[in-house]
Amino acid sequence: MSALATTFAQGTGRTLLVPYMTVGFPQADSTVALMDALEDAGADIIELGVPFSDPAADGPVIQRANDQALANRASLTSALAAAASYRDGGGKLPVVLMGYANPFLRFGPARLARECNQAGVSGVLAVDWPAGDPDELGAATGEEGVDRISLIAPTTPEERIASIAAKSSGYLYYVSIKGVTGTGKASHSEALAAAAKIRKQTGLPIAIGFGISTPQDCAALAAGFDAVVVGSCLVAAAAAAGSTSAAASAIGKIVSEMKAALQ
Amino acid sequence: MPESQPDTPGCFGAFGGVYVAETLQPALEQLALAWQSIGRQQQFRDELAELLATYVGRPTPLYRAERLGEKYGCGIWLKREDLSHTGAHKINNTVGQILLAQRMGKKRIIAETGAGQHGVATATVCARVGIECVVYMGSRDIARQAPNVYRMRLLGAQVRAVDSGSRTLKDALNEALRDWVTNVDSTHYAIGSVAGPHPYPQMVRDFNAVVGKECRQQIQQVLGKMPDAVVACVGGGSNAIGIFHPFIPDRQVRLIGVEAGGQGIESGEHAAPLAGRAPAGILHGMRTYVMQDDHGQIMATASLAAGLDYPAVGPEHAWLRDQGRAEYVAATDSETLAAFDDLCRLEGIIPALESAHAIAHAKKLAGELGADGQIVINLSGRGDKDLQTVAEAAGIDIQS
Repeated sequence: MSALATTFAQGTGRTLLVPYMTVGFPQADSTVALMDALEDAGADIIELGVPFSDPAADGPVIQRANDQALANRASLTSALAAAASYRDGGGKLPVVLMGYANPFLRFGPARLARECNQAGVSGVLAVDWPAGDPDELGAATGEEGVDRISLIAPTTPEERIASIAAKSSGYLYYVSIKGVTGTGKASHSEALAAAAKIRKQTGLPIAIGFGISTPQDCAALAAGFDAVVVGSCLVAAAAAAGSTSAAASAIGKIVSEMKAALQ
Repeated sequence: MPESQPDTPGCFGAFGGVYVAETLQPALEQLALAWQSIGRQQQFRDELAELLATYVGRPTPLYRAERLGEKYGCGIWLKREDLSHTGAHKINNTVGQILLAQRMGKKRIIAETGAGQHGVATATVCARVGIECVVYMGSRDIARQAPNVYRMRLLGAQVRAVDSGSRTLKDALNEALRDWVTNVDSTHYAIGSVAGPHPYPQMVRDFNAVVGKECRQQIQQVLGKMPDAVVACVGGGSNAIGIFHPFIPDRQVRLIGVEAGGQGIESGEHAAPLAGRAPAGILHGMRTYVMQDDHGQIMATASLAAGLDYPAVGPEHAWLRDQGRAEYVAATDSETLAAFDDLCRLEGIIPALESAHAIAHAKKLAGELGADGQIVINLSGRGDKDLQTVAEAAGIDIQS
C-alpha cells in the first residue's frame, strides 16, 4: 500500500487537510521549515509546488510565487532535495509534487519516479499532463510505486471520470471551479454534488482544491470529500511575511484553524 | 513519408497532442468534433469561401519581384498575403474559426497576439459578425506595436495587457488560456498559430492552406513547372504551414522555414527553436521543440519581430523537420533589416519584419540556386506596424 493510500485508510471518517506550498519560496531555503510548520499545525499530506516559468493554470498569487521561486533558483531538483531533507529531519507526512509537464519531462519520467522514491515523495501531479494512452509519466511512476494523481474538473463528463480514475492512484483531485487557482470561490452545493458523481465511478479518495480559502469552506466540504487542498491563501500569507519564521507561523496559524474546522 | 495529418490523439509523430488542464479537455474534444462535422458542411464552406473572396480579397496575387531577383541573382516570386484585408495571412484563420465558433453557439471570442496581426484579424472579424472580442497582448509588444493596438480598439475589441513573464507572445497565450479555463462555456479561444493543443495545429493549418493551394496553381501557371523552393518565416508557423502544406507531396520543392535569429543563434539571443536545436518539451498544450533551460524552464526569446518572438513552434513543423521534408534556418535581426530595406527600395513594398526574415534567407538561397533558381516567398504581412521599430533600429525619431 502506498503512503498516500495508508494515510487515507488511517484517516477514514475524517477529511484530511492538504496544504500546498511553492518550493524555494519565499526564500530559497524556506521550504523545509515551512513543511515542518505545516506538519506541526496538523496537516495530513503536503503538496510541494514545483515552480514553472509559464504556470497557465495558476492565478496571480501562485504566479508571483513561481516567479520568486525561480529567481531564488528553485527547481524540480531542489523540490526533491527539500522533500529528502524534510524526511531526514524526521518529517512524517506524505509529500506530493505538483507542477507542470515540461520540468517533469525535461527531468525524465523514469528518473523523476526513481528520485521521488529516493526522496520519499509519494505522488506526482502534473497539471497539464493528462494520463493519456499510452501514459509515459504513469508508466514510470507506476514502476516505482509512486502515485500518479489526476485532476477532475467540473467540465469532465462521467465516462471520462472512470477512464481518468483507472489511470490514477493515491487520490483524485477535484478542481472546484472553472478557473485558475486562487481566483474563485467554490460553490459548496455544486462541489458536493460533483463528489457524489465522482464516487459512482471510482473508489479512489477524492480531494477538492482551487477556490478554498477559509475554515468555513473546509467544514462545508468535509461532508463530501476525503481531503481539502489549500494553496493560494497559504502562499499569499507566506508572501506577506517578512521572513521564513514569520511565514512559518502565518501558514501554521491558517492550517491549524482549518484543521479545527475539519474536526 | 506518411501523409501530414494528425492521428487520433492529435499527434504528428511524437509531436502535438492535448497537454492542457482537465477543465479544457472536454472543450477541445468538442472543438475537434465541431471542426470535423461543421467544417465539412457545404454551407459552412460556401460561406467561408464567399467571405474569403469578397471580404478578405482572395485570391491574393503571386508577384514576380523582378528587381529584387536581379539583385539577389535568381527568380523571386512573392505570395502577396500583405494585400489581404488587415494586411496579413492571419485573417484566413480568424474568418474560419469565428464562423465555426458562431455555429457552436459561442458568445465571446478571445485571442492572443504578438505583433498584433492576429489580434487585428480577430477584432476585425468579430466586428464583422458582431461578437464580443478580448485580445491578450504582452505589455512589451503593446509598446512596440502601438498602431495595431489602436486598430484593435477602433474595431471594438478590448485589448488586455499582460505583465507576467517576458511580457510577450508566450505570456499572452498563458493569459488567454487562463481566461478560457474561466469562461470555457461561453467563449471560443481563437488561437492564431498552428500551435496549442489539438485540434488547433490542424485546424489553423487547414484555414491557412488556401495560401498554398492558390500559390501552387499560380506558380505553375507562370513558370510551367514547380519552383525550386518555397520560403516562409516561422514563429508558431501558421503562414509557413499554410503555404507549405499543399507542396508537401511535391518532393522536388524545398520547403524552408526561417526562424528569428535575433542577435545570432550562437549568442543565445534568438527565437529559433528548430534552427537552434532546442530540445523537445511540452508548452501551451502541445509537445514540440521548446527553448528551455536544463530545468525545463521556458527561456525568454529575442527578436525584432514580435510575431516571431516565441520559444516553441507548431508540432507539424517539428515533425516535418524530423521527417527531413522541410528545412529550418534562421535570419538575424540585422539580415532582416537589410532585406526589409531591399524590398522597400527595389519593389516598393514595405514588408512586415516577420516576413522580411524570409526575404533575408532568400538572398542566401539565391546564391546557392544560381540564376536559374526560382524561389517563392510567402510575404505574410505588410510592415506599416513596424515603422517605429525600424526607425528606432536606424536611430531615427519619426515622431519629431
